[in-house]
Amino acid sequence: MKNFLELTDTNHTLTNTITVRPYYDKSAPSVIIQHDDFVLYTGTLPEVQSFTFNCNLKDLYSVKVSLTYKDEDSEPESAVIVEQFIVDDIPLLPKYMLHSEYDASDDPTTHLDKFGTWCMKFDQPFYQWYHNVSGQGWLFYQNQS
Amino acid sequence: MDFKKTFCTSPWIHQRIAHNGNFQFCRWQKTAEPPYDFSQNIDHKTPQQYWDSNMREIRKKLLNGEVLDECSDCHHMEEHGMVSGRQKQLLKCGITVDKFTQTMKSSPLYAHLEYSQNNEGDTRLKPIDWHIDTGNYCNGGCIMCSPYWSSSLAKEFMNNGLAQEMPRKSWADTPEYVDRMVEQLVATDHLHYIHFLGGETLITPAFKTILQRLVQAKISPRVTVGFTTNLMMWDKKIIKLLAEFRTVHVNCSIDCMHEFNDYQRYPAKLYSVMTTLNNWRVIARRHSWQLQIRPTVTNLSAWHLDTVYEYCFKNKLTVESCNFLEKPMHFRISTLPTHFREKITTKLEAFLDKCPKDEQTVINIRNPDTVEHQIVNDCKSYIAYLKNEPDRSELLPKLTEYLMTLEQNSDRGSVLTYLPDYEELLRTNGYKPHTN
Repeated sequence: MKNFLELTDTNHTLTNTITVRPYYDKSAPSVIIQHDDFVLYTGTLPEVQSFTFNCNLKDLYSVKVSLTYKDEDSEPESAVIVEQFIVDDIPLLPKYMLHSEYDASDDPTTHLDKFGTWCMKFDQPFYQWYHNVSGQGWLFYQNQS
Repeated sequence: MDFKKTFCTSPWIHQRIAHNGNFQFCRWQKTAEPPYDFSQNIDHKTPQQYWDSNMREIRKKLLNGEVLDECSDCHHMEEHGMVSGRQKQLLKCGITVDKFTQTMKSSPLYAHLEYSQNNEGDTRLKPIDWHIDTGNYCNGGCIMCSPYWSSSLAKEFMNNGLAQEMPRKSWADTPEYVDRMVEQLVATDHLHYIHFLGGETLITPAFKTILQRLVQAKISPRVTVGFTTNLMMWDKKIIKLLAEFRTVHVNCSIDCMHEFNDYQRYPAKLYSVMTTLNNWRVIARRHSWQLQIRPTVTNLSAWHLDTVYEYCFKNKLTVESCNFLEKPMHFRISTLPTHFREKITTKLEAFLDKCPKDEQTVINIRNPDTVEHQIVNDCKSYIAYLKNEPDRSELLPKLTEYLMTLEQNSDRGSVLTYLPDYEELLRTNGYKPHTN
């Protein structure tokens, strides 16, 4: 790339990959995995699985993992673990786990053992969000008090 | 050259006024040499006029992917792995070189870049990051400085014949020009950062005046102030004024934690400098200000550079050497012959042996969580420079001639008193200490 004009012609999308791992003995838990309201997967999760979706650089979006079923009586310890979430080759877990929410727990965690939804939300374009959470300092107009 | 290696966002966010009142498009740009061209001076141009006209051309060239000669210091830093001003300015706009395309297109500045592309480099923005050189009032006579930056050195140069006339007085001595500058700052909605450089800022009237005016204009709570001090001054009134600002970056000039600092930064005394540094650290902690050490690394102080890293690593202080010293040329580290470079490298590598081994490039040098890695990166860049920069040892006779001229002022003493390891090197290049 030689100049700005050539840069404007490039088209770059963000590849997102979320990996979830079930933890159970006999009865696999069920999950719903979503990119915003778009369902990437719904059903039982018998083994570790990754889901990939693309979005635009300036999209504001979220990824959600909901634990919808587990055998609470015979396997109370069963769970789903959000093992990794990678955006554009940048692994976000566990380093940025604090920026996720799990509505079944007050503490941020990626170990989902209660019915509820884990969510990581980008309320700014991903790279602006990443600039802020990774301690890159002041960002042009964006985080100025 | 690849666009990602040349492009810089600085001319969209930043502007500088130099000690003589000349405007510049960047604090890191190669500064002009005397005799100066005063065509872009505050005596007949407002900061905004320079921003709208001359900097428009700079923006256009950068968007076109041109390599600017004025930007060579940054390119040189990057060549040796030192974090450059360009990388720092890009980061302020959310752009990183390793993810250049993505971060450029995601940047909050992107729409402004598109506007400039479509409008011949024009921008509707104003500079929000200023570098203000307040003139040459200085109580220091550092050996690598010049009369344009130090009034003490200017007098000494007149006495020893190194200069025939005193530099023109600072722009900041003219109230009308200070008004012009302050008006620009006050009229900037998103004004974010102002870095002041002297001379010695703490004794420069304009430093205090501009701070007072910004406080009076009630914009200080949203502005960060940075300044560089030689640690030979202390002024409680200025500290009180600084406390009115959003936050403060205290940049302390010290070249080594060894008595050689007394020679290089004459007439500083290490014990006194360290006491002042400790006082600034207390003040910085009290106000949650940031404090950095800014060494100017010459071919002489490089011998003790490891002491800076050791001290800063132990005390978790950022080391920000703003560039590889280029001028005066005879103070370049590249003048050192191979065996000297190897000895310095060995000392620096011994320091690195005690540091964490995991690699992490730190562009935001002000992140307290990554100070140790920042120090390691800076140290590594000097090792790379020492190993790879072409030999300029032919400049050493010029160095010894210069030192002997400075030492006509007997208070300075002989370099050999402070740096005995250099005796053979200096003597073989013509150095003879003055005998009283």
